[in-house]
Amino acid sequence: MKIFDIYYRWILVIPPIILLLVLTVYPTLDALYTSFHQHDAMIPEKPFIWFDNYTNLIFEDERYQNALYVTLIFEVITISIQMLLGLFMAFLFSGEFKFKKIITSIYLVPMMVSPVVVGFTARIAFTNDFGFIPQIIDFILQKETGIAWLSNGFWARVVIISADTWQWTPFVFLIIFSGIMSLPTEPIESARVDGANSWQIALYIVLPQLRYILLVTFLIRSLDLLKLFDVILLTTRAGPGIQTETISVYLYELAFRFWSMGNATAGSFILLIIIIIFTSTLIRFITGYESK
Amino acid sequence: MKVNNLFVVLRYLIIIFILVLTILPLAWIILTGFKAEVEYLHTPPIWFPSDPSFHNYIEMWEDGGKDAFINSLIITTISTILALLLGIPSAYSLSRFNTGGDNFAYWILSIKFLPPIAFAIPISIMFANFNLIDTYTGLILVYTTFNLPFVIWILRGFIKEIPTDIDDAAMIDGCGRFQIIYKIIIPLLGPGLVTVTILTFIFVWSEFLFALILNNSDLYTVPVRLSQYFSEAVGLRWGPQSALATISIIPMILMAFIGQNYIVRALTFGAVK
Repeated sequence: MKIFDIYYRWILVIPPIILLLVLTVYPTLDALYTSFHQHDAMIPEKPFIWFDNYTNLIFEDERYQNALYVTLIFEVITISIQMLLGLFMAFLFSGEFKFKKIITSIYLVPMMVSPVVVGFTARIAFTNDFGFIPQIIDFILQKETGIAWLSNGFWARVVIISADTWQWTPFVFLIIFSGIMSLPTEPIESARVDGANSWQIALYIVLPQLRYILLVTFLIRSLDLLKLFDVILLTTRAGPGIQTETISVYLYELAFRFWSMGNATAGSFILLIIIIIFTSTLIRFITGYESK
Repeated sequence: MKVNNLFVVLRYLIIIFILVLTILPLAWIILTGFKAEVEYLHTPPIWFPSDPSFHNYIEMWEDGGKDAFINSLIITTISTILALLLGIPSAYSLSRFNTGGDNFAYWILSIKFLPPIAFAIPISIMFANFNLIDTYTGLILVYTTFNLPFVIWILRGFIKEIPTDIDDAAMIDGCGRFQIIYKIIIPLLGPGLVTVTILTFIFVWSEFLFALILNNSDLYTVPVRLSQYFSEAVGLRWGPQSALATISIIPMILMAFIGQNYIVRALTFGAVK
């Protein structure tokens, strides 16, 4: 390697490093500082208060606790549904059939739609009286269900989970599908020769080999779901009440409606700590599988 | 063999069912964009407009849609170009010299996965101090920065697959490192680079949180304009809103078809090839 290259390789990465330092590291440090201070609109004094913002959020702020709970519910239910559906679709697609390529392409469309549009679509599609989904459900069940989709806490959550599932199941499907396609065919063929049926092959031969891909998909999806914001703002606006208020939405409200920056930054650090613990645990699992 | 035939039919039925579920919501907003107000606010819902017209499109376009479109187009184009211009050389450096080691690479990757709200709050304070709220510069800075991790990480993987012999041969012929990047590496990246460019464009185009926070009222992008319809006290303007939603997603969907070759690899950050 030439002497020149030693400097050169750093010159190439300097502009991104500067941007990342200015727009991610500096704000993080600034937020850390803010999170230890009492920081409210209209009050000029900003005294240092140690961990009061943190303890206040965790132990006293019921809205923060609610937001954590709502986010957890969305995480667990949405990921379970998407992984199962994605897996099911991937197996469905693993054989040959007509128009496979074009159909696969159409399934990718929801991923490319901006979440804001997905939220808006969910809203107008689920609205009682005017939306087509209540109409179709009533038609299939042949009775007036009268479900208040957007104003009942339970059903509002169903709407948001459906919207996210509509958008991101194709993503899960696509990854698992390409994982299945890249598997070696010999074990599958020899199992078939030994008389195993399709279900046995899927369960005992294909699925174990997909462990790594499933974990990666699970990790990406769960981190994405923690960001859930756009869809909620366009469908339920966290309502009814705060029954669909996720952590991102509440932090947004804290910062830009109540101008309570101390609490908002403390809240985002609690979130970061949760993410770091969750991610490092999961990555240990993933690398464990990889090295086996 | 009868069981097998049943299975084939069942599979087709399920595939068609999922296909319908995928298309119906999109069809609904596209159709709503062509309906008159009495039709999209009708019980029971009407599927097909009796007299389809572009009046919703015209209303939407004149009522802020045009500005939103121009803003989005400027911000998205410049951010995407900048992210690529800065990202490609870095990706080259990371893949060829392993600059900064694995930790540096993983630090860059981690930024993409953290929730943007955590950065958005302090950035909004910072931007207010520097008068960057409501400016193109502010949003372009943010979008360039937050898409660099994606560009760098994915292209790093693609460049690793180009043999280093090519670099060496070019150097013997008298090429500098910059020339190697722009004359040899970029053409060889080909479809991979197209996918990365298209996805970056779509990410920026769809971004909502930063666009919402870093503007007051003057500078709104298409997603922000779409959300504003709900806060305006003008009733349910679903027609114009659907029109705006439709023209904002059609170009993205078409682009995605072009870029779908490496889409799995790009969207999983190279974890799945």
